[in-house]
Amino acid sequence: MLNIRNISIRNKLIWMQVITAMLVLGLCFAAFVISDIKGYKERELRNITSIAQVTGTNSISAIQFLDNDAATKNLSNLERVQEDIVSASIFDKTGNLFASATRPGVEPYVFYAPFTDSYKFDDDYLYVYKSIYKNNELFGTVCLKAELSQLEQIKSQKFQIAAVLLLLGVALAFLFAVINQQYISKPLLSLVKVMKEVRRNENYTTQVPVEGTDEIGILSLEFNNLMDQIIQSNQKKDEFIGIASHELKTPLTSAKGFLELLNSIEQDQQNKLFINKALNSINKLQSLIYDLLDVSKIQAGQLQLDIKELDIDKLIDECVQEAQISTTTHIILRDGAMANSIVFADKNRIEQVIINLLSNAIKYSPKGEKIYLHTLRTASKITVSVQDFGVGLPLSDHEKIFDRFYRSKEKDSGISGFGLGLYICAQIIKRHNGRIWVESREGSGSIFYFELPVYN
Amino acid sequence: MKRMKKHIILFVAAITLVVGSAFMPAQSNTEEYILKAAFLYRFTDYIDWGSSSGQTEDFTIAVLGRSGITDPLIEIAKEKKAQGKRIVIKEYDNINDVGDCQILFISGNNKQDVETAVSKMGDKPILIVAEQTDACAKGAHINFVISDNKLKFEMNPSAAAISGLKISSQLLQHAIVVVNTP
Repeated sequence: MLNIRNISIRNKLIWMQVITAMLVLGLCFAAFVISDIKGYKERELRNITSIAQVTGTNSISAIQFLDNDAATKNLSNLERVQEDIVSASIFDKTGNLFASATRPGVEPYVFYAPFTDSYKFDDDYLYVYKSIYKNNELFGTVCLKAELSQLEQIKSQKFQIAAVLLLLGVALAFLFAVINQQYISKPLLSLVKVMKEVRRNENYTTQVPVEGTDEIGILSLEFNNLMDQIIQSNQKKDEFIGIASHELKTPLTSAKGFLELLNSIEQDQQNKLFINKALNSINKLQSLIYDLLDVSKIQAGQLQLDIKELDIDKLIDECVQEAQISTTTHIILRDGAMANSIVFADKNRIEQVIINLLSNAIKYSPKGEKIYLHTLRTASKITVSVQDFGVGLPLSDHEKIFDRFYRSKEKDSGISGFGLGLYICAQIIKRHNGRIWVESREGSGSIFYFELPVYN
Repeated sequence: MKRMKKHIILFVAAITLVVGSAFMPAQSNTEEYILKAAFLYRFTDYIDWGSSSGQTEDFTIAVLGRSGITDPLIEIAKEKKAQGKRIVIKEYDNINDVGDCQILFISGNNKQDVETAVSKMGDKPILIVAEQTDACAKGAHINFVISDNKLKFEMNPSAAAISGLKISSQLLQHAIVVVNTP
């Protein structure tokens, strides 16, 4: 069944206008045709009645002197005066036929009583009975049968005109509707487009142009207000994250310092084990807080880079070593030729990126596999890739994986994380005018790439 | 009102008779004369007697010779007026006795009297009606004839004009023969 809600507003508007125009015009034209036909019948009735009146008056003497021939001649002459008359008869006042004439080639019509002043229409003919009086004395009745010869012509002519005008009216209504709907459905669709863009890009600063003060104008205005509110609450959230992580960092640093001190003076192996476990947890917490601080810095546009000449090969080797220390289940292999190049970059931040990619590779290949770190140098840039043979990513996640707080749904199970690491990596690489991306297939592992420009 | 009703009934009866006889062979003299009386009365509607007839008080119909028309004429005179005047019926045996009148009906029994009547009354505004062969040729204004078993009449408008009478063309069209001898 046709669901009206599934028809677009554009089509609804057009159909509404077209149907309304059709109904109104149809009714008007029906009235126009009916009144025209009625007008023609009235004219014909007046005409034939007056002819009957005149014929009656002219036939009085014939009736008086019983001159049937003269009366018949009178009636025959009628057809010359008014072509529509098919049959004419005069009855005397006792109802006997006095004279009669019929158009040649037509079956004579027998008029029937009562012979009083009256008229009748049937489909094609008009019947008029007119009593003949002179000085208030009744002499008889003239009966005429007239053909409504122009009726069909008038009908078809008027119907044609009405049909043409109706088509024209409906076409105009359609045209106006098509023009008119633009002012309603177009802004709606553009609003929807902006909403989709906002959802995809998470760019809440996007605003819809507000035109006019109609309902759609109000809707657009309210949408913009909603966007402002989202920006504000995002800002509040970022501020909160910034303040909270900053406030957490200070006591945590102090706790870590004292635990390290304690570790250096403690001799008892049992106690040392406990202290190390505590330190481990503190380190995890600290890296999390550093991530949060980085995010709030990035959000606030306060990510500062300390750009210096950097030997990328040395940095990579350091990172591989550091990552290898943290795992016993994975083997991390440096692959490919040495880059042999100096890049201008923030050493700590690039290290953060490489460590992050390596620790992700370890985390998402839980069965324990090899991890390859590959470097490729071209004329203008250096590409670094980290390959694992773990769970991989579905294609739909390849873009979103670099978004803030985004975590791939499928591999959620069992693996902890905030969804901040890759976001921070992407932001750092972006600030270095580089590029970051992933190639991956579910179940067969991922390769994360980043490239940095090389200045010669 | 009551009189009007009676009038209508009578007239309807008369017309029924008239129409009936018009389509049937004249069965008797009586019916023929009822019809002739009715025609005679109706002629008054179509004839203009000029200003001179306005002076007389009554509308006089003179019947020359014994005729069956007298009785039905008297019946009509009881009910109707001619030219707005009372109708008076007078019967004469001799043309010389006929006085002021508007219509002179010469009975078929007085054959020799048409020419006499015309010569005597021809210059007065008197409608001369006869019922014998060739009466119009002899100067009568209207002459009743029976044709195809129907009552018809001939006319002589020239003779009527000499008498100062104007005959309506509407009446003329019902005449079977129109003679134009003075």
